[in-house]
Amino acid sequence: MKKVLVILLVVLSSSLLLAEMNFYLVSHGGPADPFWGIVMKGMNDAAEKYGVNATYLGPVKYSLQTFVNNLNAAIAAKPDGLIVTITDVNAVEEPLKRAISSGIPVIAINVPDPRTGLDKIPYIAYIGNNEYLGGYNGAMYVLSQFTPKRAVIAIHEVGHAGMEMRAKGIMDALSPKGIPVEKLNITVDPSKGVSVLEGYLRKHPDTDMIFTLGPIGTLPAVTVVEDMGLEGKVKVSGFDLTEEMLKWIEEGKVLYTVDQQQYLQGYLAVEFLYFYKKYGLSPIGDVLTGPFIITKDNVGPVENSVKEGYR
Amino acid sequence: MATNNNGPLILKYLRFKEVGGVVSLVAIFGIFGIMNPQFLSLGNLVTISTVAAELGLVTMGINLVMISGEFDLSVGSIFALTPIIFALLAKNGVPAILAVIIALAFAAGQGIVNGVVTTKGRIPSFITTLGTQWFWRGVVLAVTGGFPILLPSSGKFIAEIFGGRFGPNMRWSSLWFVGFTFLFYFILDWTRYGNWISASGGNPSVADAMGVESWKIKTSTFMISGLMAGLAGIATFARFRIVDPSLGVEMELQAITAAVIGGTLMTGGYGSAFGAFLGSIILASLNNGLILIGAPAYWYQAFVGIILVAAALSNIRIKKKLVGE
Repeated sequence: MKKVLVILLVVLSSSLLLAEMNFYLVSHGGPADPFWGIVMKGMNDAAEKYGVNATYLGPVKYSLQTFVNNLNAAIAAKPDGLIVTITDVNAVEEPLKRAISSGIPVIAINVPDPRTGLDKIPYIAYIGNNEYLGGYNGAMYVLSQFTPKRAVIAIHEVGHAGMEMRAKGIMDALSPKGIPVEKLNITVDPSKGVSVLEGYLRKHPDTDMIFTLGPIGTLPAVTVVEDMGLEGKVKVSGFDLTEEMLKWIEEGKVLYTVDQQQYLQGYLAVEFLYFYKKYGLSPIGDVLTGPFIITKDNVGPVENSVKEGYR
Repeated sequence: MATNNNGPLILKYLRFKEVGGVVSLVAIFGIFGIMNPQFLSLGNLVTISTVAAELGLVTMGINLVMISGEFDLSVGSIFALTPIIFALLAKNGVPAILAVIIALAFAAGQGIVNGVVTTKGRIPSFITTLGTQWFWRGVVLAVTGGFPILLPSSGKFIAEIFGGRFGPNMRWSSLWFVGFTFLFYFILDWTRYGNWISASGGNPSVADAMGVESWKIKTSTFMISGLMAGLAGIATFARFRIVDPSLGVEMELQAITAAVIGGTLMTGGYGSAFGAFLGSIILASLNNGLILIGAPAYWYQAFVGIILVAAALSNIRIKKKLVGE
């Protein structure tokens, strides 16, 4: 038993020594979460293609403490590059600035450092989506299909910075057209969400567009439209990708959803780090992997990529 | 019935409670150090010491509770709630030093609640502290609304006393950890109170018959456990400068694991401060070492499970050799 362990450990460490470069991807997302499973697939595919070693580190259960401890350990390993989610600027700022000044290049994915100027963590680039544009572009798509008389944004997590950015994007797209739009707190409890939305629709019967900011919000919205027999009269939009969401788009119950193509976040990060370390090439600024708007027109090919594990 | 050693002389020097912990620590540092010398670099050892200190302060306290024969599953929630109380008080104008005293007093108070409910209510401490773990975590969620709380600038100085930086990247929490290890060693091995703790855990009815009020002793160990958890929470707060509501979740399991790896038995009455010290360092270096040799981080849990059981098995044998059945 001990021999097996020793052999295992030797194999692991030798793989570290033989590979050309070592990268660590430190994220707040756990390996058990299917969303991050796709990021990992992207990371592994790129690592295989370029012959580098990439290790994914994520806490099994969400824990900021474990995430930062993992980050510190990864930095102590003196890797050739780091890929990190800037989940909380306060917690990761010090270790990352220390890593960058000691010569380790860092690429941020999935969550950026929202600051500008000298305070911002000097990573090479950010690869991920843009929440504000997720709202804005989605709303612009709606405007290309029809002009709502009145819209409501169903928020299921009030105060969540990402959600608020999405909502702001939607409102900025609709207000120049003079379309009244309000935010509504529907909570994460779907039955409560249903009753809140029902109340709102009865109070404002001219509402014909419900924007939702995630699958947790889309469910009550779709339910309310069905229950009140408003199919076709009131349209619903979604956010993020789930099997259910795709089904709703196919059935015409949801107009569009927003995908952040997290496979690219893992893949491109490894690729850019490789080119940076080998040839000194780097992207300038942020590389957006989202918002990718999925509608009835492109849902087919999207489903294929879901089946093959790329979404 | 301690046996006289008939083996080689070296065995005489291995007859101490913490031998299991020492052997494990040497093995871990040896293996990881050979596989990736970065593991033994100064910067990395400092990183390990910081993680070990934050866990170790909690372990020190829970170790005392376990020696007195009980469990404290609520340390993780106290660990999170104390810095939150500190931050909210400091934000609302309370002078930082007063805020930290109130927050730590609250932590000790939570421990007293645990102790009194367990001893006077005569329910297993496992149940009491499971309940308070849920309750205090619920309070954390309700107070924060799910959002993290930032360390206010007025509270920075005081928090940094517990967990701020000095030197190359060292943290004061490491010194607190070492200091408390010696303090608890002294208490356990050199004072009557320490004796009473072991007695309350090893044989509470005999202890009570001899005039040691085991309920008071146990309540005091719960109080200390709460206080240490609160202290560790504030030290961690100084490092992250933010408390998010998930802080400290499952920390009680890690602390209990560290105590058991260090030689403390679940049955009570047997354990040591240095063992808890070693156990905390072992857990901290395990996760760190696995990352440095390139193993994906989810191996950590599997390894901890193996080591925990192995440690418990070997510690029972060691105890038998040292102090008999």
